[in-house]
Order: sequence, then structure tokens, then C-alpha cells
Amino acid sequence: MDPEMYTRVFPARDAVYKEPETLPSPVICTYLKSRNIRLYTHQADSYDAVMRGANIILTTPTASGKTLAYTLPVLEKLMQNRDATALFIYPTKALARDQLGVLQELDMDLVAKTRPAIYDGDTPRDARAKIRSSSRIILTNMYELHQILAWRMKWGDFWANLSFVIIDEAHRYRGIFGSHIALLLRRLRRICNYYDAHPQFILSSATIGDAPSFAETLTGVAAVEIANDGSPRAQQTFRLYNPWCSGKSSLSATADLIQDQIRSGMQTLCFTKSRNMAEITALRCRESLPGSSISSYRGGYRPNERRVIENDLKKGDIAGVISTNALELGIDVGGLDSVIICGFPGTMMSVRQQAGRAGRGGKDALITFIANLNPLDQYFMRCPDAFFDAPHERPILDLENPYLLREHILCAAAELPYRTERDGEYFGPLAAEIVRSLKEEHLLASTPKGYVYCGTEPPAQQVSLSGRMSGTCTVMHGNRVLETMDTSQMFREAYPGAVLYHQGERYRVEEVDRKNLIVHVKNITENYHTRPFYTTDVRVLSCEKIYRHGSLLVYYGSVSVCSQMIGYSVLEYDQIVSTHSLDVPPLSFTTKACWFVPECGNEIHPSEIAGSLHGTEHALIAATPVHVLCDRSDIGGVSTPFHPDVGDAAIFIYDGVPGGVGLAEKAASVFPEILRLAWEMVSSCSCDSGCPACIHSPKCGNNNQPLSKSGTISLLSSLVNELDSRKPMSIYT
Amino acid sequence: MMQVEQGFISALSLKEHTVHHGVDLAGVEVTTADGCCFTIESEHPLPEFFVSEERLRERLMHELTLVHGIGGMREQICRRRGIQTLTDLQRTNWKVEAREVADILLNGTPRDIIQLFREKGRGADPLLVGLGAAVPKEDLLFFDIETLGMVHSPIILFGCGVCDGQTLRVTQYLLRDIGEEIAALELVADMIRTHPALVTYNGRSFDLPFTNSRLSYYGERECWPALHFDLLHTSRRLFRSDLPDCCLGTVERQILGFGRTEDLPGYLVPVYYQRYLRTGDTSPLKQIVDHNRSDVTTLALLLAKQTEMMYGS
Repeated sequence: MDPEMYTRVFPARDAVYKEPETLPSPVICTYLKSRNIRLYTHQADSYDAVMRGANIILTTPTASGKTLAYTLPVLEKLMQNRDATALFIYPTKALARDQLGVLQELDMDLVAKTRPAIYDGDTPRDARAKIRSSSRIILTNMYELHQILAWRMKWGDFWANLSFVIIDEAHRYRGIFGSHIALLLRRLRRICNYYDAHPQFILSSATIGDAPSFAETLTGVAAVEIANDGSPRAQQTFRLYNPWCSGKSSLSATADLIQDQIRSGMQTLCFTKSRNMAEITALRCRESLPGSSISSYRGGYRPNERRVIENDLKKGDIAGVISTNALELGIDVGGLDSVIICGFPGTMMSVRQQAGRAGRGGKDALITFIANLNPLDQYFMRCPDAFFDAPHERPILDLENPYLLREHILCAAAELPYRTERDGEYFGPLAAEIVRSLKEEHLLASTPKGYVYCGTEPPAQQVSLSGRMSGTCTVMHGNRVLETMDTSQMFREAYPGAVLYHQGERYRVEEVDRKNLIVHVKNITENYHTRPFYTTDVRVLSCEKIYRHGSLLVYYGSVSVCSQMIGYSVLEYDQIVSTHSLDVPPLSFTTKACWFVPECGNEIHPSEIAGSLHGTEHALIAATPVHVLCDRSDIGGVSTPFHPDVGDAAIFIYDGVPGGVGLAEKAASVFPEILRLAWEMVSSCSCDSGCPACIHSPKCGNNNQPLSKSGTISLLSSLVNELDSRKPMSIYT
Repeated sequence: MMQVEQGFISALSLKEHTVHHGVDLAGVEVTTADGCCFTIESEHPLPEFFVSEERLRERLMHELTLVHGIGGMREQICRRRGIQTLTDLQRTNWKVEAREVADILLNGTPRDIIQLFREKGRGADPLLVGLGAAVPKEDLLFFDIETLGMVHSPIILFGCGVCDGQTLRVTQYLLRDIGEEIAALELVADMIRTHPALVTYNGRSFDLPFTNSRLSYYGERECWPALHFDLLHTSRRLFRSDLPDCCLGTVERQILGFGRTEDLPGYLVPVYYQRYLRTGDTSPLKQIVDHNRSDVTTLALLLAKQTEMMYGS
């Protein structure tokens, strides 16, 4: 039996201070002295780098004082030049709200007169003109930036004086979403350069691999990495805990651990993988510890509700919070004694961000990772070194995706006439050809000033940066808005009969109005919860191309990916007490996919076939981002021993974005490279039965079951052989 | 007559010759430094909308509530006591304030008077329409645009109506292709600078900012007219209670008493123009041009009607 608990202690570390080489202005020196602040090494280095005009990417850990590291030099420069402006871009509105206070306070202390203000979708119309004309620091998000770039008449002065663009949590901009952002930032630079402004870019990020090249791909300008963290670290005790060894579920183990820690006076923050898990865990804890202040926290709560929890956490009025990754962002919640991570959140970046929440303010920190019962989490329990020594992930971006380029060139042309010779700098060598085809479609027109957008709809509104389905659904309890959720979440969680949790109260879904996106719920007192089960099907709509790689044929075409919820179970204390069938419309979207027929030869035992196909699918999905330049979460896969449209076993790789953005198409054309990489990954992996480095997928819908590593290796090697074989394929012609 | 600050007249090399440049509409091609565009001229009878400056200023002097501190109640009390004008009010405790307001009303420029009304939250007061009737007729510009989309798309047709004696001369600048937008914009910007009193329907929120946004898109200077009479706002004040909505078409039918028989609905303008761009067939253009011309001539009629309602005997 594997050990139940593995502990690694990271010793405390003293602060390392440094004086900046360029002496800060007297007002900054006075401020630092009055606040008793000495700059850490990375803060001094970033001050110097920004003051000498460099673009930087800060990759020191959570709570190392990154905000001060870049706001000091930015404010210094804004005080030197009273016309200069700065744009602070945050990944969410909530984070911008949180940071506004910090910036306003610093602005007031330094008398910098920058009047920091938020400009996003929630900014009242009548306040906007004032902010544009008088605020020199504007806080916003990428979605808003995408919309405002076309309003040059209103923003001209701000862009002309733009000296800094600050991008917080930059590691979130990866994969297809990140590629959208990279093109959006090129649009911003193009407009600034038009006004002869060349803003410095300052990126703050989780620790990632090869940060300078990521920063350069994201922004288009070279950047230096500032990583020499000088902030003090409290002693960190990091435990990996496998409750399944003693037959305990991760839910019970998590709830028990939270209670124990709270009883012993430790303020605890627990991260769960889903909204429902957060609520149920909070409920369990509240029931066993009546009278103690325990909260759940997640997206969907009303903004006021969230702010109250954040503030209570900061002031220490709350003993425990059970949260989704919504609290992983840099919202300041002060020092915490302990963090519990229940289930692997998908990336090591997230693990490190979540763990960084513990141990602020010099207190010793206790972090516990509780494994779920899936092969990936269990693998970490067997091989703790793989967990602690995992290499830093490298975010992938693609600037040559023709689908994205097309959308952003249209937006760019609506912002400023597009000139092929000048703007190739921003959009690369493929742009000229795309502009030509857009002209033929009458979406761009050639004019003496350059190409002009001449479609009828605002192009920015046609682009969905995150690729997610838009639309927000409202959950109503009587006449009161309980919370909001996006439409895909509504499909997964708000089926008739489902139990929803909100701050420990249980509500049953009575009616789902899919047309108006309203869910009506009723308060209930019975103690049970529900779990849906659904099937995901891929149906082939059309086959558009066939790629022949040796004797292996890879098909490419349109498919419909359809998730059908077929029923749900009612659970009391983790025991299924009944199941109910459901008749709800399926959630389906049309996208592009590539697929092939894997020939499972005689060497794979029939009982291993499903596990081999599944393992091969996972390995291919893991290898695809390297050659297709996307994030793992941008693509999906399905494997089946028999597919009705193919008439045989099949493995599909599809674009996760409705309509497709060219990922499957590229995968089909570079399939040999993907296949060889997948084979190398799996066959050279020293694990016994699969691990995250080979066939375990962090987002597998079937909990990584069934999987067969030996079968996967044989299947992959026979597929690789097919690539090299040249036998006649008369049956296919 | 009242004087309005004059915009400057920029040099413009006009190279005029009648053409039928693929477009089956009678017009001329006009060339500017940045290209050319197609202009279509037409003449229409000019409706009578004259108010003498004296009559206008005398009427405005009755507006007691322009004085800070006098609201609806106090005004009624004043009127009961025989205080009808700002001159009368100078006999009371409001002597100083009343004199200041009266000074603006009797001696101020139209801009001063509009500013005074705006400070009292009465920027859309139909009384102000009278200023449009009192400025020199040659300063007025009746203005309406047709666009390819609601925002960030090109303007494909500009309609400009100016007064010439007893006629309304409508000049329309049409884009035969999008490359002509910049030239048309320059011509229109010049028109706005030389005719400092703009008359529009919803032009405050649409036609003027849209035009300026396009000027700025091409890196040209924006233009802001000295005076701007947006007849939508006054129509709302005057007709809202009588009409289901204040669309120009509705006002035309119900207030001016005529309707258009074969008019192209506004929402089809982009569709028709796109059709022209794709096929080269010019017949859709004619309908767009007719629609725009009617909008411009209606502006003049509506200004006359509203002036008559406010200042008629």
C-alpha cells in the first residue's frame, strides 16, 4: 500500500534587499521611508529595468510584492511626465476592482495626480468621457480593450500619451485565447505607433518556462525576465495526502481536515475543482461546526456578496473559505495559515498559485494536496517527486492561425486604415494574402489611405476572444436574483430536479426557461444532492479532406459534438438512493475534427482494446499542442471501438471552439509529427501503468478509465509503422 | 440679423465636369486633394421659417424660470402679480439675476442663449428652434447621412441642404466605391465649416459624431458646428404625447401631413449598397439617393413647422 501522507518542508528564507541603481525621486524615497518599505531584489531590479525603458516580465511567486515592483516605476515616470498615461489590464473585472484601491492609495500618497479609474463594461455611460479625458491610469480588461480600440476619436489623446501597458496574470493568455490576446495587443500597438507612442509593456505572470520568449510572442516586443525573488518566505510544509488508502473519500477527508484546522485556530482556504464541490464541502463543514464562520466562494455570486467574503477573509473574521479557482487570482485576501487543494487543478501553474495563498505575512504555511481517486492524482501520490519537481509549463501561442488573423485584421481595418506594407510588422507574412481574400469578399475596400473595413456589422462584436458561448443565465428564487451562470454551466448544472447550493442553502431547480435564460428554483431543506450523467457523441457531418500519411489516412471535416444529459442520480451522504431519467434538449455545437481508423492488431488483447484506444487518444491530445500551437484545453478528443459514421473503431481530435479555428485541420496535416511525438512520449516513459507525462489527461471526462499503457504502446507503434509503409491502398481509391 | 462665428473656408481645387461614371445618376465628379467623389445636386422650394430677431428676443424675455431660484410655483405667483417678463422681474428681489439673464437674452449670441438654456436643463427646448429661423439663412446646413452599419462602417452618402434665395439646394455626396469616402468627408467637413448652423434629425447622437468618427479614422480634423439644431429632441418635446414614436417618417406623416410613397426603409440602405458593391448594378443607389434627399428636404419643412408652432401668431 502506498503511504497515506508524504510531506516535504520548504525552509523559511530571509528577505534579500537591494537598492535600485537609479535613485528614486525624493517623493518615492520619502514614501518608502514613511511606510518602512525596503525594496526586495526583484523590486529593485524591475524598478531599474522599467526606468531605463525596458519591457519586463515579472515571474516571482504569488505574494512576493509584484504589484509594488511595477507600480513604483510606472508612477515615477507618470510623475516625471504629466501627460503620460498607463493602461492596466486585468483578467477579470473583480481583480480590477480589487487593484483600484491599491493604485488610488499609492496615487494619493505620492500626490501623483494620475486619478486611477476603472473603464469596463460596468462603467456608467455618463462617467466615461470624464475618465478618458482626466484619468492617466485606466484599469480595464481584454474584452473591453477589444471594444474600445475602434473608438479612436474618443481615445486619441490617451493612446497618443500611452507610456505603459501593464498586463497582470499574463500566463492566463495562452492557447487560442492567448493567441487572440496576442493579436489584440498588436492592434493596440499599431494604434499607439500611429500616434507615435511606443508604450513599454510590463507583464506579471505565474512562474512559467521560457518567460522572455512568451512575453515577446504575446506583445510583439522583446522583454527581460525579472525572477530573482527577494521576498521572505515563511516555512512551507507541503503535504500530499491520499485519503483513499484508508478508504475515505476525498470529500469527507477534505471536510474533516478543514474542521480540524479550524478547531485548532488555523484560518484555512480550500480550493475545489467544481462549484458544486465547493458548496457541498462548505455545507458539510458548517453542519459539523455550527457557529463557526465558514463560507463558500465561487464565480456566479453577486459582486457584493463576493466582496464581503474577501473583506472578511482579509480581516480574519472568517475561519474558512471553500472556493473554486475564482480565488486563485491575485485578489488580496491577506495572510492565511493554510491552504488545502482538493484534486489536481489541471496545471502546475494553478497548484503553485493556489499554494502561494498560504503563508503571507511571515506566518508558517501548511499546504495539503488531497488526491482524488483518478489515475492522475493517484500517480502523484506514488511519485511525489513528479509533483514537486514538475517543470514549469510553457504557454503556447500561435500568431499564424488564419482564422484568428482574419478576424483581427478586420477589426484592425475598422480601427485605422490597413496598409499592407506598414502593418505586416504586426500581423506577419500571412496577412497580405488574407487581406486580398477579404477584399474579394467585399469586407475590405481599397482606398487612397489604405484598406478600409466595409462590412455592415462592427467586426469586434463578431469575435469571441474566449471562444466561449456567450449568454448569461439568471437563477431566480421567487423575485430575487440568486446568482448568474453562463449558458454552458446552465446546461451542466441546472436541469429540472437538480439541487443547487448557494452559501449552504439548498435549492431545487423547478423550471428552466431556456429561451429567456432564466432558471427558477425553490428552497428545500432535505439533505441530498444530485449528479447528472451524460454522454458525449461526435457525429460526422461531412468529410472535406483526406490526408494520406504513408498508408495511414487521416480524415478532416465537420462534426457535431453533442452532449446529451440522460439522467441524474440523487445522492445522500455519497450513496446513490435513486436515479431519474431526463428529457432535456442536448447541447451540441458544430466544429471541425480530424479522425482516423486505428487498426488494433492481434498483439492487443480484446479486453485491452478500449484502454488502448483511450490511451492513444490521450497521448495524441497531449502531443497535439506542440505541433498545432494551442493549449491542451482548446482541443477535445473522443475514442471508440466502433463509430457508426465511420463503421469501425475511430479516434477523433476536434476543435473545442464552435465553428473551429483550424486546429484539427493543422493536426491532420502534421499528423505524422504528432503521432511520432506521442509514441516517443509513451514508450520512453518509465512509469508502469500510465502517468500524466504519458497517457493520463487532467481533463478526461471518464476519470482516466479505462487505460492500458502496454496496449497504447503497441497501438502507437503500429500506427507509426503505417506512416512509413507504402503498401498499395486499393481499397480506399 | 444674428451673427454666427464663421468657419474658415479651405482651399479646394474643384474640377467639375458632368459624368455618368458608371452610375446612372445625373451628377458631377468633384476632385479634392485626396481623391474624388460623385455629387448630385437638386433644387427644392424653400419653406418659410422666418422669425425676426426682435420677435424672438421679445418672446424669450417671457421665460422667467431662466432665473436661478424661480421654478414653476414661483413663476405662477409672479404671473398672478403681473410680472410677465424679465424686465418686470427686475423690479423685484431678483433684480440682479434677472438683469444678467435679460442681458444675455437681449444682447447675447445664439450660442450664449443656448448655453443659458442648457444650464437650466432646457437644452432641447423647442423655443430654441427659433434661433435656427433667426440666423442668416445662408448659415444653415440641413444634414443627413446614410451609412453601411451602425458603428465603425463607412458613410456612403451625405446629404447637405443649403438655402439659396427662395430655393433649397441639396448637394449629395455619393461614394461610387469606398475609396471615395475620404474625399466626400473633406467636402462635407468644409460644408459644415462654412455653414455654421447645422440642422439634423438625431444628428447629435448619430450623424455628427459618426461623421467626426470617420474624419478621425482617416486622420483628419474633426469639425464641430457653432450651432446645432437637432429636431428630434424638439420633436419629442412637441409631439411625444400625440405620436406613437418620433421617427422622422411618423412625424412627416402625422405632423407635416404627407407621406412618401416609394421610399426605401432606412434599414435596407446597407443591404442595397452592399448589393451595388457586389454586382455593380446602380439601380439600388437611386433609391438610396432619393431616400436621403427626402430626409434633407423634410428637415427644412420640419424646422419651418416647429418655428411656426412656437412663434406663429
